[in-house]
Amino acid sequence: MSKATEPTGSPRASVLDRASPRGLAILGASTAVLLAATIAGALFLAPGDAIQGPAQRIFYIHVPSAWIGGLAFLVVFVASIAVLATRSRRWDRLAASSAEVGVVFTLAVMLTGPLWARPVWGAFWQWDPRLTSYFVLLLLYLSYLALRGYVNEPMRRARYSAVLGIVAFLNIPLVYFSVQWWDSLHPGPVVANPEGPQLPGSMLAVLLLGLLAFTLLYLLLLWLRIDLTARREDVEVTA
Amino acid sequence: MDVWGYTIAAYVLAALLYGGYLTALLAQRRAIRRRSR
Repeated sequence: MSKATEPTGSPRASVLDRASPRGLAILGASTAVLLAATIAGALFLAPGDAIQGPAQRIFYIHVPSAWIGGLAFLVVFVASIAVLATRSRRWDRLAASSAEVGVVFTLAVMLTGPLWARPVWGAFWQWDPRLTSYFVLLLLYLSYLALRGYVNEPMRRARYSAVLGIVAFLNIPLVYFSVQWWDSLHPGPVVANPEGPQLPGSMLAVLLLGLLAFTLLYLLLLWLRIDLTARREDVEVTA
Repeated sequence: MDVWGYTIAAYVLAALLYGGYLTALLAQRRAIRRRSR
């Protein structure tokens, strides 16, 4: 591989290279405690919903997974712009890792959503604007990961996937506003509502706890994924 | 399946997905560390 085609990176080590065992242990333990508290709060402490019954409790993992999936793709978008501006391997590593972790969060949304829809709507799936645009979002980021698998030359792979990482993000506003722009079966925003949060304080508290827990889970998975990529690159260089 | 069944299934599937991905990352990291030693 020629030096001219290799994405560059600063020689200084950073959190975008390696995860420290102590840092991972602290982050892992904090994530586990907060996730356990979220599950306990969601299943046993939060008040039941009079109309939806127990199915409403899926909301406490479905909504944070969707929000953090969106955050992961925002990170891909920003890191992709940075890749095109700096040609840095570190930004490419961050974009690729965040895309993969974001796909995991998106799959969690796609698994938990239908299990809520079946008892509430009477069907696992509807080709509704929110569900359809979200399915397209999943396909876009799966194609991002597939593209990375097809291009071997690192600089070209970084450039091509950065373009797709920027274009794919344009679907996020479509997903978010789909429930307002078109007739949708999917519930509208209950927290970011113009008239304030449309749920009781005890439900909001569990939701915010879940949001914090899933944010830490995202950081943990992202850090491990970046660390793994950096280690693989080191093995390839020394091989 | 009653409504609690769908709720518990959602939590179990999410745990398997996130837990499975975390386990896969840790296993690959361990394998690379062992190989590079």
